Amino acid sequence: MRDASLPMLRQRPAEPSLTVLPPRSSSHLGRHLQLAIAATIAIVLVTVALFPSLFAPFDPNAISLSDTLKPPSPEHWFGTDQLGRDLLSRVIHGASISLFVAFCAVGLAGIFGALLGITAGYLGGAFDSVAMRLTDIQLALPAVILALVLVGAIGFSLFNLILVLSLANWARFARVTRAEALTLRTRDFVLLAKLAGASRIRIILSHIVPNVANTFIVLATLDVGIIIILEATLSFLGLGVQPPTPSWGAMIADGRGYLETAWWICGIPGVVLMLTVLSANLLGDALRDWLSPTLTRAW
Amino acid sequence: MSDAFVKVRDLRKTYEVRKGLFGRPRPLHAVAGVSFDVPAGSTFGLVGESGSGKSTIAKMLMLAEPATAGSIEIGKRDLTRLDRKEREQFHLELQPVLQDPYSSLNPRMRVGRIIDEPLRVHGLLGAAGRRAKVAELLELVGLPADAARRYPHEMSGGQRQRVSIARALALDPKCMILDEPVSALDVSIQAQILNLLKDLQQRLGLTYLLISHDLAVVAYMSQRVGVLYLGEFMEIGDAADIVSGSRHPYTQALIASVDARSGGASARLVSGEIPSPMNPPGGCPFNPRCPHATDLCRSEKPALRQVADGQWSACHFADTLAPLTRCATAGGHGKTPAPAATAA
Amino acid sequence: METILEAKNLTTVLRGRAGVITAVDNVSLQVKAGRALALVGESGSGKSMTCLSMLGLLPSNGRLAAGEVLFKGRDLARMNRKQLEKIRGREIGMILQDAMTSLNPLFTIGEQVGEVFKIHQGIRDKATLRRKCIEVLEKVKIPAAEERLDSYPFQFSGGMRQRVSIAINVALSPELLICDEPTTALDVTVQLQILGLLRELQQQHNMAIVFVTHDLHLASQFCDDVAIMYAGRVVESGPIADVFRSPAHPYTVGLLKALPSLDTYSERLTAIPGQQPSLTRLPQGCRFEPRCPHATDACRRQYPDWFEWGDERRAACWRTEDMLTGRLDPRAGVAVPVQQGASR
Repeated sequence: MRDASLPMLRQRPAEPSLTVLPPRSSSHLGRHLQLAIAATIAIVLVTVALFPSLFAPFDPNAISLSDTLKPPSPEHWFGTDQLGRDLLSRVIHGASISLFVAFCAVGLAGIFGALLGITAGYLGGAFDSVAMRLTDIQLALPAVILALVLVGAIGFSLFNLILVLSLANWARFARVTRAEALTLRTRDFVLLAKLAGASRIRIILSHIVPNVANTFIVLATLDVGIIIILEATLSFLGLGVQPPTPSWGAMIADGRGYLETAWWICGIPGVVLMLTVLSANLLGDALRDWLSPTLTRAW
Repeated sequence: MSDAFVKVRDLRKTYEVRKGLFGRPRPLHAVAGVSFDVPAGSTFGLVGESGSGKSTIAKMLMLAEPATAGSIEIGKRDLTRLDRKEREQFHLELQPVLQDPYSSLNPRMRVGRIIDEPLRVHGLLGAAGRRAKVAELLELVGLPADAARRYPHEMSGGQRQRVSIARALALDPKCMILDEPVSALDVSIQAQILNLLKDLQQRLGLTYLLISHDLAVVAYMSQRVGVLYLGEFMEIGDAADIVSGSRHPYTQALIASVDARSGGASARLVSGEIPSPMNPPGGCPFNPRCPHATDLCRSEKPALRQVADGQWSACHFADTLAPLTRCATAGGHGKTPAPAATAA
Repeated sequence: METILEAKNLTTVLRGRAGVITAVDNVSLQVKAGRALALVGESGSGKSMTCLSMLGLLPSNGRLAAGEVLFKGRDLARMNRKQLEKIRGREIGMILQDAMTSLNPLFTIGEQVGEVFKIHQGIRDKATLRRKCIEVLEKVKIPAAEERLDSYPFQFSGGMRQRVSIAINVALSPELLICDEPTTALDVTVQLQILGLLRELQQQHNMAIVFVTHDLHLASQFCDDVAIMYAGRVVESGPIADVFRSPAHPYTVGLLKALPSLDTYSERLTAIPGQQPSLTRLPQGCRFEPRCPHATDACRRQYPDWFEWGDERRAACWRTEDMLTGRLDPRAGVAVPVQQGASR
């Protein structure tokens, strides 16, 4: 069993553990740079949009027929449009309007869509079928047609615009949150809550909703970009924000005729629009990576 | 026997399965008539492999699935005949602990909230009372008091399982269903949790229904054991009788398999695989794999009958079956350390 | 006896969310031709990562930071992907735990087994491929092999799928087979069949086997040598019979005592308290010290030296000498004060 007389015991120190530093790979830096740029753009935009009067040097609607079609200069950073209005001020006020509309529309669509989707996913049955058919209908109608019809019916106003954008957008949320709810429904902790006697409402609110939150946030962030483009499209077509309220889409539409002579009327709002949407998407991606527990970066 | 705390009689679960789009639905007898008694404060272990129906039985006992037929009586109340209101009350009597410690806890809830949720649901105790109860439960299951503020992902599998146990105890149940409570845990943690469960049973006078595929775990925890195969009991008896004096070839095959792993008696390997419950063999369900099978076994299904005091077997030849000789130590490749008996 | 695989100071690092962890820390192993080495440890011990490191199959967030992996004299760690691909499947096979995910659900068994011959032997002729496939399926004792060539993985049971997985890996008679918990997901009665099959194949082809498992008892039945891992390092190794007879590391003893077995089910299990340390916050001294009943101050201060003796036995523990000379009775779990003058 146990030897009283052992063979010789040789002793040697254990190998020391390596101290390993994480690699400084360029992609690592690149991703951080991406995020930094996106965040900066977003912060600048939101700040400017919150206090447009503070940042805009001129009244966006001040017509000055002696200063029409002036190119960008120290006096007018973005130049002036065909009515002599300072483009920088118009872009700033347009940002304010666009972001306000976008956040409201995403909020409305998101909350409605998520509530419907989660309940449908969890309860299943007839409720789910009806909800899904409604979703199908919404997805089948192109937003622009929907806007045309609705605007024709209820007329123009900022509130109506937000309504239209929400109605054209909620199905996305419903679908995704429903899928999440379906998966969550089968998890043990939901079963255990049921077996402890929890009602369906309680389970949905305490267990399903918090676990869907991550996906919802990422989706909402990415959706902001989509809605901004949609609003710009509607304004471009004259169905969105009405003049004289400045809007990027309308400005781009106005500037079409001057592409050769005064490209900045069209071009600059377009570039700003693009940067806004880009930054929203980058932020959404970064959020998804950050919130995703299993994603690990390659070495 | 008739004053047992838990009484299960002829429990059945049948699913209708349709093969393909146009096939006629055929019945799948996941549980084909199971009966047993559990005295208060003791543990009944259900052991079986895949397709044995043990998980389905667990679900029916928890009332997570309705039984197709049969009755489950706990403390003289038939659970299968409860209406909705009464079922809510029943939750106070019986609580489950499930296998997967990762899926059993809401990842977005703190542990304290997870544990006191049953209390909130039933409106028991005020906020202060719940806090005190949570602290009490954490101590009971061997977790530090500050665990209440942590999230599940900050804890290991063993700790999470302790949280699950604490939650199950929140409503002061009299009975717990343990569905593979340690299978997903590391080996060195399994013993901790098993010992914890044993201690809790002593302290709180709990009755356990243990379901597991591991015969050694079942033997360790249970006073009485039922061996399941394809939805029916092949043998029921006291743990000691089942392990050292089993009277059914399937039980013997199970024991031999477990033994061979730990260097015990040589295994008489059972051949073949477990048939699908969709196509159970005719006659005795075990006959295609049984080394003793005869024509009688293939044609006539044996009934579960008493073969010794407190021991029942579903085998035509239970009385004449050669008992499995087991050596406590010895044989095999390596030698497991024997308890004090062989210490030098 | 020829050493067919030797890992020397293998170190693998992983980048996780919390930072960089050393999943495999200076692991040295030796596998002799025709013998089976058990690699035993719990989750997080690094046993699976060790195997993946040896074959160049690390995930994208992992990197082999140091060490050599000598397979028949050639260093696998220094080979590029192409060279490794030639060796994998032909000279070294690897079987994973879950056969369902090792087999592609969209291809028939025949296609998947045939792929091995296509890739490594360049055989294109259908008839020859079929013949070879049937041969190898019969070798792993799959009944009615010819008909089953055209079946899909989902039509097989777990045990059968594992046999197919084995077939794919031994088709070209590799000299080394790495098995990562091949029987953990299978029913007990099937586990033994698979192990028996592996042992037969091992004898037929004089194949060396690395058998990764958390079940020390199972390892003892099947393997010749053992290396026990804890928190990324090997803590004890040697011929398995000897390790069982006189374990020299408290973790080994703890594992042996913590497993419920049919011999000791009536006694209380001795659980190892606590849990494995997180690899992000390893202690400076011995990693097992917080859970060890025999720990001393020296254990906390400094990582233990290697103590080697006899036929390739070694353990990394400051109390090894005490355990071997009987000053400390490891099985009793009672710490004996260390005598002055002992080597420190």
